[in-house]
Amino acid sequence: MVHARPVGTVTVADRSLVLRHGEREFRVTLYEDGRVGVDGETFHVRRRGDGEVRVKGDPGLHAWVARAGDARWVFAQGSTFELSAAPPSRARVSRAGYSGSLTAPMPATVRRVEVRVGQLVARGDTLIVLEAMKMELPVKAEGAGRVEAIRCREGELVEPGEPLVELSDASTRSEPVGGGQEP
Amino acid sequence: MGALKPIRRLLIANRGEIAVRIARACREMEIESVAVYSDADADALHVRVADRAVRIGPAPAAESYLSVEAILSAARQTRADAVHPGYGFLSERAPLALGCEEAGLAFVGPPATVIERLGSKIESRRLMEAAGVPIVPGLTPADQTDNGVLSAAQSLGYPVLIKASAGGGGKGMRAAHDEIQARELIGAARREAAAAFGDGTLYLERLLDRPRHIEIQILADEHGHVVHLFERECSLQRRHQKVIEESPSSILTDAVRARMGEAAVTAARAAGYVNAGTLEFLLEGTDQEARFYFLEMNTRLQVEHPVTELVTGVDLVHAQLAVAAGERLAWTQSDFSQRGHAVECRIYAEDPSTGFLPQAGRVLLYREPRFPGVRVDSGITEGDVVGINYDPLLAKLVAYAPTRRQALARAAAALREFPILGLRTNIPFLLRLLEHPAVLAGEVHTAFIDVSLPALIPPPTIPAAVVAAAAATDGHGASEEHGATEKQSATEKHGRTLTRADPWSTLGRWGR
Repeated sequence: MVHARPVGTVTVADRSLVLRHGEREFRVTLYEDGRVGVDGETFHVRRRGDGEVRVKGDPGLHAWVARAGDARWVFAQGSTFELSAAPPSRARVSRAGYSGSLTAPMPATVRRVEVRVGQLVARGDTLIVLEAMKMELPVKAEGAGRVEAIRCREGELVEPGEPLVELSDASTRSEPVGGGQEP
Repeated sequence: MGALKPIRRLLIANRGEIAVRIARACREMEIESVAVYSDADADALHVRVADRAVRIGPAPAAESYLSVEAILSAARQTRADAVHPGYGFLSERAPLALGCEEAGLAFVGPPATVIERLGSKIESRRLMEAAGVPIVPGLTPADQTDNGVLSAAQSLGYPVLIKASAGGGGKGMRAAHDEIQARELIGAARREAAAAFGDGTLYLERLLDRPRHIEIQILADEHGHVVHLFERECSLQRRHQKVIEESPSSILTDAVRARMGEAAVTAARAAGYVNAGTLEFLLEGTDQEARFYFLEMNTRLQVEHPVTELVTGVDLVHAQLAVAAGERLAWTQSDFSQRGHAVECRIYAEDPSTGFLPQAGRVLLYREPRFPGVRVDSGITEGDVVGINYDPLLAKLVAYAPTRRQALARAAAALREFPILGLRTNIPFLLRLLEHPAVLAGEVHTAFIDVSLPALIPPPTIPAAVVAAAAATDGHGASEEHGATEKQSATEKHGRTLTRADPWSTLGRWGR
């Protein structure tokens, strides 16, 4: 959203955007004078060219920032934060029913597929075993369900967010759900 | 008795921070360094800092860094006269040492026969027992079927540790507290052992009660001299992978320290050991009650070697290269003392809040902290891409100070000024660990991290000020100010150029 307003002879603009961190969304306003509003709270932010940022306040915040595409990265007080400027993604997997797709949490090789299409699985059953950095990472069912589809093959290299297995809730009729499971 | 065989060109059969560290030692010692790289590492830091570099194969380690043939052929091709294996990969594989011996190359490590002997858990335990060094009860079941392994576990008594007979470093290692658990874990332990070491043979060991992991660094030359460089305490481990190491240990009395040092020297002598090595011990109990047991010997340089370097003042890589060149050790035991305290934090590309999943990505921003007494051994720089083909260790931050309390505080302060952006790291976890009351009090054991995990995971919350900082990358407000500064400094620079006294324009006439 852009609100343009004339100031003197030049036109400057306050911009607003939404930054997401996990499930939380923040309304952010960038004022032309350098202040930044976050959900109504206003901060004075000073940025240096080398990625260092100082947020004025008591206490202030010393941070480092970087962006790549929609991702916004911050390192402050010894913690790393990854935010996203992307519009909200499609519907998330409903946690009540265990239907939906299980996705790869990281780049990995599919070591074994331990289920077949149509198979009923219980909560905690291992569906797929991934391997990355010499370690086996089992992908387990979050709840009871039926295997609707297998979207990967043994030996295949998978990327984060790629669906591996589609599960449907075995107890109730499920509706198709898009999106992915939180890694 | 080996004759002197000066090293002029050293091939470094490794990657990441350790390859960089060795290449820099070469630079100091006026030895030419040769890096090797897989297709995943063509532009990696270890390649950039070496004098030469040779491609040894595709990204999978088995076809590159783990290929003895590829390493030896790179050494031949570059006419290197020595090979340093680093740690991990081929460092504890006898075939590389043997191949070097046959090709007339100096191997920076012990002879192949010694690696072979100490690499076998059965052989090394036999050796230590004969030398009078105490050992942890354990065995390699003769019957390696699931049932064979289970009945061996039964005879040893639960809890037991199931691990790869061929390996070290915790790969494929699992604790089973009863038969049901053991039955579940054997398959995965065997597969991991086979994948990591090419050998699925399993070894069982009795699990001690909250032991500490304490290891002794030794150095031995070809002329029969063996010394030890005291201990490193490596009790802070997550699933048997070390996370924070320090020296000295806060628990050892001088008497126990002396006995462990003597045991390590005796063991190294008994094994006919040459070059740098480490004897790992488990220590149960405290003070006079403390009992230590030989765990295994690592026949290579350790990841955590810098803490020993800082408290003893000995450069272990320099010492390794001198020994490999046939030189005598420059010290006797009485030359060494422990001065101050050093602590190393391993910075891994893994996310503590998702079960330490390894992370991959491009390093968007990377700044090493600058503090007195802080050393960073790193394998990456800004702009590098961290992949998933190899170990997720990115860098090691080592803090040195007069006391333990000061060293821990210095490490924490430095970690807060070590921004790595573009992928998640374990820095938030390291900070929580360094500042945990039990760690500050030195009251830790090898399972401490696993049992204290919830308190060590950073909360998923985010302060509003951090969101404001994130928006600085979008902001025109903030960057406007920055833009103004930039413009101003450009003018300044320009101005300076115009007004600066140019020696050529102010030159007077040439005198005759």
